[in-house]
This record gives sequence, C-alpha cells and structure tokens, in this order.
Amino acid sequence: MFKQYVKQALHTLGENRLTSAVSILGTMLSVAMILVVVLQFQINLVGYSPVSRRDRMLYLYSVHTRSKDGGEDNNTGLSAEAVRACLYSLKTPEAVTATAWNSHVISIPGRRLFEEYTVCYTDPAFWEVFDFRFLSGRPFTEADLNSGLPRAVISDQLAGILFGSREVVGRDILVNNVMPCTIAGVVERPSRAAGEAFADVWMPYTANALYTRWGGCDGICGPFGATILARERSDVDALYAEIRQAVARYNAGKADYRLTPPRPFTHLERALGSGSHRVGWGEYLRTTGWVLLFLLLLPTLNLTGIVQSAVQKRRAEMGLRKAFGATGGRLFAQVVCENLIITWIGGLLGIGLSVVLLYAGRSFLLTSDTVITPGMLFRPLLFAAALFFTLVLNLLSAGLPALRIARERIVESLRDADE
Amino acid sequence: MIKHLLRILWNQRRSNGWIFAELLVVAGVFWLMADRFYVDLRTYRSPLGFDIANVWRFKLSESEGLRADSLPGLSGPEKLTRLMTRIREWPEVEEVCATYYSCPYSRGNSWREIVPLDGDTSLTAGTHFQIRNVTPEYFRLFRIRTPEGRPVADEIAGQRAALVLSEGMAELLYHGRPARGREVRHSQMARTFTVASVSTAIRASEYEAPEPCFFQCLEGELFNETVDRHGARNAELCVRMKRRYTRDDMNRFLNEMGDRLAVDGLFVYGISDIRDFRDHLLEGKRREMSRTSALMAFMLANVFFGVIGTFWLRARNRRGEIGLRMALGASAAATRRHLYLEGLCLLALTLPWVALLAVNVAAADLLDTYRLPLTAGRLAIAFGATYATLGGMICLGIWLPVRAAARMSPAEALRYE
Repeated sequence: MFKQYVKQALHTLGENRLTSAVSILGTMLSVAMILVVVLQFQINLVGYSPVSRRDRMLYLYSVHTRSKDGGEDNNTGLSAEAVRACLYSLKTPEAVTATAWNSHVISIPGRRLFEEYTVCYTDPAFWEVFDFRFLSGRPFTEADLNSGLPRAVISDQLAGILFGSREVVGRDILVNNVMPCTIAGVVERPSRAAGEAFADVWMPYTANALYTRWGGCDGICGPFGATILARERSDVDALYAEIRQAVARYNAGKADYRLTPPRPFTHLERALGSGSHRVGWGEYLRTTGWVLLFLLLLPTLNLTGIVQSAVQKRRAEMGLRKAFGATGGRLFAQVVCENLIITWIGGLLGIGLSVVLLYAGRSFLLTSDTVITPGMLFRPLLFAAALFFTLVLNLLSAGLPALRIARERIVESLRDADE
Repeated sequence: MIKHLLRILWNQRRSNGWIFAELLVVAGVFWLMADRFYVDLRTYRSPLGFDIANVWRFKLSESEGLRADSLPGLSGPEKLTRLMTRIREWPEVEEVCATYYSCPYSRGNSWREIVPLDGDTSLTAGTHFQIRNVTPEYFRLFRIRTPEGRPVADEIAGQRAALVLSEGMAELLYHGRPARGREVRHSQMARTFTVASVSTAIRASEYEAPEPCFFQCLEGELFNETVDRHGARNAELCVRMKRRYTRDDMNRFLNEMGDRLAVDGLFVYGISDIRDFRDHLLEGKRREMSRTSALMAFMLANVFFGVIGTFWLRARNRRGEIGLRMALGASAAATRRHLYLEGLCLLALTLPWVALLAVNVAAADLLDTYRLPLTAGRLAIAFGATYATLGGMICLGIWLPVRAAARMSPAEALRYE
C-alpha cells in the first residue's frame, strides 16, 4: 500500500513540477532555519576535545554571599581560599578545577609586543577535567602550583605567533611585559565553542598574587568559577549535599559573611543558556520556542495552500475510491503519506542547507572565530530533530486538507471538483 | 474594477485564505522589524558628538620592580603627567588626554547630583547626571564642539574649575538661557564650578539616544585628587595620531618609543584602537540585526514561494476564464495586469489589520519612542517599506505563472473552457 503511495507521490511530483519545487524549497528553507537553531544548541551541548566529558560536567560559576547583619548581598565568584576549603576537599566528584579568565599582553623577552590574549588562571586538576591534546611538553603540576612557580601552557597558535614553532617548551614568555613565565607545554588550540576551557595561555593561579590575595566579603568572594567532573551523571544531588556540608564548616569560621552555594548547573542547563541564573527547558522554550513556531508557521501556510489545491483537483478520484469502500482514515493516510515524500526530500536538503547557513552566519550565530568541526554538527540529535520537524511540518500542512477530503460526502466529491 | 477583483478573490477564498493568512502574519511582523530597523538607522546616523578617528587607547600598568626612569619617588599624578608629556612630544602624536571611566565606548557610568546656584534648582533637586572625568585636552582630541560649531577647547582655555555641560543638560538647568559662566556645585562637594562651555549632545554609542551629561575638567588640584583616588594605572590614556596607523605601524611606533613609555614604574603595556572598543560594545546589536535580517529574508522567501505556488495553480485552474477574456479581446498585457492586481489587492486587504495591530502596539507603548518619537513620517516609512517589499515579492512570484498563462493562444485557452 505504501509503495502505491510512494509511486503516486512521485508521479504527482513530476506532473506538477513548479508547485513540487516550491513545496520542496519551502520545506527545505524552513527545516534548515529550524536546524540552525538546533545546531546552535547542539554545539553547546555535545562534547569534543577538550570538553569530551561534558555529559558529566557540573558548573558552579556564581555564588551568593550575605553579610550576617543582612545588610549586604552579593552574587560573585569564589576566592581561592573558598575554593580550597569548600571544593578541593570534595570526595564525590572525580575532579574539581577552579578557573578565572583575564586578558593580558603576551610578549617574549627582548621583543615587546602589545597584542592581548586570553589567559586562564587555574590549577593542575584542570588537565584532568578537560582532555587537551598536548603537542609537546606536559601540564603544570601540583608542585608548580604550590611553589607559585610561573609555568604556563600555551596554545599552538600562540606558540606559532610568538616563536614561529611548536617546540617551545622551556622557553620564556612575558605576561603584561613584566611577569616572566616558562612554557611547560603546548596544546592544540580549543574551539571558542568550548567556552569553559578556552584560552590562549593557561597558568597556575598562584603565579599572580592578585588571584591568591583576591577576597572580598571576609575572603569569600573572588574571581573563580568551578567546573566539577562528576563520576556519574546522577551524582548531582549527592554532590550538592557534600558541597553544603563543606560550606557549613567553612561558614562556621567566618565572622561577618555567610556563603550560600547554589545547586551546580548541569551541562544541559548550561547549554540551554544558564549563566548568572538557571535556565531550564521551560524558559528556553518560552524564548526559543516562539522562534521555532514562527519558522514552522510560514511554510505551513504555504504548503497547506498548495496541498489544498492539489487535493481539490483529485476530489473526483477520492470520491470514486470512497464509493468503492475506502474509509476516511485511509484517504487521510494517503494524502498525508504522499505529502510526506515531499517534506522528506525537503528535510534532507534542509540538513545540508542548515550546515551551510550555520557556517555562513557563524559570526552572529556563534561567538566570532568559532571553529566548527564535523564532529560538532553531525550528531544523532541533528537528524532526530530534522525527522521530527519534517513530520510536524507535514502533519500541520497536509492534515487539514486531508481531513477535509476524508470527511466529505461521496456525492459532493463525485460532483465535478473544479470550483 | 476593484469590486470585480474583490469578488474574484472572495470566490476563491479557499485557496486565497492560506496565502492571505501568510501575508497577514508576514506583513505584521515585517512592519515591526522595519520600524525597529528604521529607528536603529536614524539613531546610528545622527551625530555622536565626538570623533574617534586615529585615536588609540594606551593601557597602563604599574610595577615596583621596573624602574626604567631614574627619578624615584614620583607621585601618581606626577608620573601620569610626565608620561602624557613624553607621548605628546613625539612628532607623530597629535594630542594626548587622560580620562577616568569616561573614555568613549568604555561603558563608564558614574553619575553625580548637580545643583545650579542660579538656575532652576527646583527642577534638578535630586537629578543625577552622568559625569565624565577628563583632562582639558579631551575636547581637542575628540573634536568636541559647541552647538554653534565652535571647538569647546577654545572656550575652556584658561578657565579654572571648569565644567562643560551637554546641550541637553544645559537646557534642563537653564531653559534656553545662556549657561556659560554660571556656577554650579556637586551636592556632596563644597567647591563650586563654572560652566565654561556647552557641548553638542553626546551619545554613549551609535545605537543610544543622547543623555544629559557633563564633563568635569581635571586640572590642578582636582587632577591630583582624582589620580590619587583612582590610581594612575587606571587612567584611560587616549592618544590621537596625526595620521591613520595600522596595528603594525603602532607596534613599530611603540617599539621606537621604547623606554620612554615608562615613568618610574608606570608603563604602557598594551594598546587598542578605540574602534575595537566600539566594535566590542556594538557586537550584541550587530548580532541582533543580523538575526533579524536573516528572519526577514526567510519571510520574504516564504512569501515568494507561497505566491508563486498559489498563483501557478490558479492560472492553471483558470485557463478557461483567461482564454475567454482573451477571446473577447483582452490583450495579453491586460490579462497580466489583471493577475498582478489580484495579488496586490490581496496584499492591500491585509492593510487594515496591520494598521489595527500598529494602533494596538503603539497604544501599549511597545514601540521604541525614546530614541525616535512616533511621527506620521516614521509610520509612513515603516509601512511604505513593508508594503513596497512585499508588493515587489508578490509581483516577482506572480510573474512566472502569468508569463505562462498569457502566452497561450486564445484558441488553446478556450479548449479548457
């Protein structure tokens, strides 16, 4: 039976080339636009080196502190002291790393340069949480952190700019033209889409006294956020309980302020747009959902008009089939299935177009100079979304005309259909 | 004619209904977007009040260890002044100034309460104005002018404790009476200041409306106090070069300057073109506008597809009628015009509904009237752009089916009748 539908659909396609082309192009455009939205989300969601373990990552970027007299509330990052006391001691997660970003001029001794690069102040656990590919050298170690020895890891791109080579381990760079720093390793530069790990230079935070001393509100507030690598995705409750215990002990030693940690964001929440506050599916759909609906609505109106005309032309045929015993449900299924062929062709082309559109519009859809790799794009989510949205589009556009023809009385259908 | 068209449209309401609904949605949304674009464009093109061409910002840092200069123990203000003088002496430099949280595109945002001693005190009691802390060279460097077009720098020359009000602030305080020479004081400071000049409206960025604001000239004691309070390293050092420099030119220039860029531990560690700050600040708006444009293009493509699909089927279904018209003497041109008019008539029918939407949106104060007042001209332009674009798209969509329909010979067309 379905074979029959396919045959019929293909025949209709050939018979009315222009309207078929218009339907397919319309579907393709709509599906492509929707998939661009899906891809934007997907790039934030899926893992790739150096953020391969994103599914187990949890984030604590903003905490709340309140003075004990209740007169002062702050939403800030954590100080190095608070990170050490509350997060480094945790037993539930596999690893915890603290990160703070700044932008510094990087030059080399004897040659002053004035270009600024992103510097990430962090700890040795960073290299456990994120799986960077080392091209040469190795990460800085716990010993480097404790001694405050300025040893840094730099990206291959920066190594190329500064030295014209990747084999630069052991050479010195100058941060802000004053602070000398020895290169411990060179890594492949991450994509900007991996915002939680992105930088050009990574160094132990103890190398800069500003970051060890930074501590407002009784030494609680500071520049750091934390990325936590859980053992299991479901650990978030146990982890939050342990964080609260550690924070309670920490607060007991504080005279004027209390720290309240929020429940860490899961990676899904972060991909949905959690930053200073938590964004769940509800809020995401309330904003992005409208755009998706609009992107579906316009081609639906187009396609409905075309399907309507096509079905009207075949009223006599439908009436005849009904007269010989075809049920309304069967006719409905036939119209919808035939139309599905068209929407699927459009959907398939739409997948291709969405990648082109994303690439063309990457400067305003993603952060500028984001590197897009096939690994970020061609994931099951993309194809599942394409399939889902073509089905919705098909049902929306063919559903109403199909329902109408299926319900029509035989005599009326048999009367010459031409209005 | 119109009545006839309307009757035809009504008789085909089943197939027209969908395309009409689409035109309605698109016309409404398109109008909202066109209006916002127009406001953005008008705002973007109105004068900023300052000129940042060839201006670079030098970033300062301080180190205990780096003593390139042989004079120890200079105070912060002395170091800053000396550094500025050294940079200014360089032949390629036109002017140097220092500001605190007040450089264009720096997102500086300090506000002060200002009380005029002989103006409308009732009006401004409790009113805060944005303050820009700048050294007097600022006005020459950024080419700030009075509303009459004279350079502000000439008017403030030699004045002590000088303030420069923006046009909007002068109007608020003095209602059109001359402001120059009047005295004001900060609500928390005992000192009084003299209004030395009035500048044109100053805007924070290309997409913002001007806010009433004033410039506080940092000179003498006030300069020393401010530098001591905020630290010499936090000064925003702006440098205007005599000609256009590329990044490489600038790096070479800084290399030539070498040790002269350091005074007793205070040194220049990096530079940025002020335009980089502007690009950074306008980035969000640029992204938003690109997204809106993409959505507009999507809507237009859909209208095109919808119209072409609907009218193609219609022209085919009505071959008989068209043939009859031609047999009765209608020329191909008349037939073509007829179909175009049908499409445009369909579009025109959306006008009352979109107008209704416009009235409601305006009444609910959802339009941006802060940056540009809602005038008949603004409405006409947004509506005109919407309907001209959609009309063009419809004609483009009808063109193909019409060509096919009008090419038939009457005899062939009549066969379908």
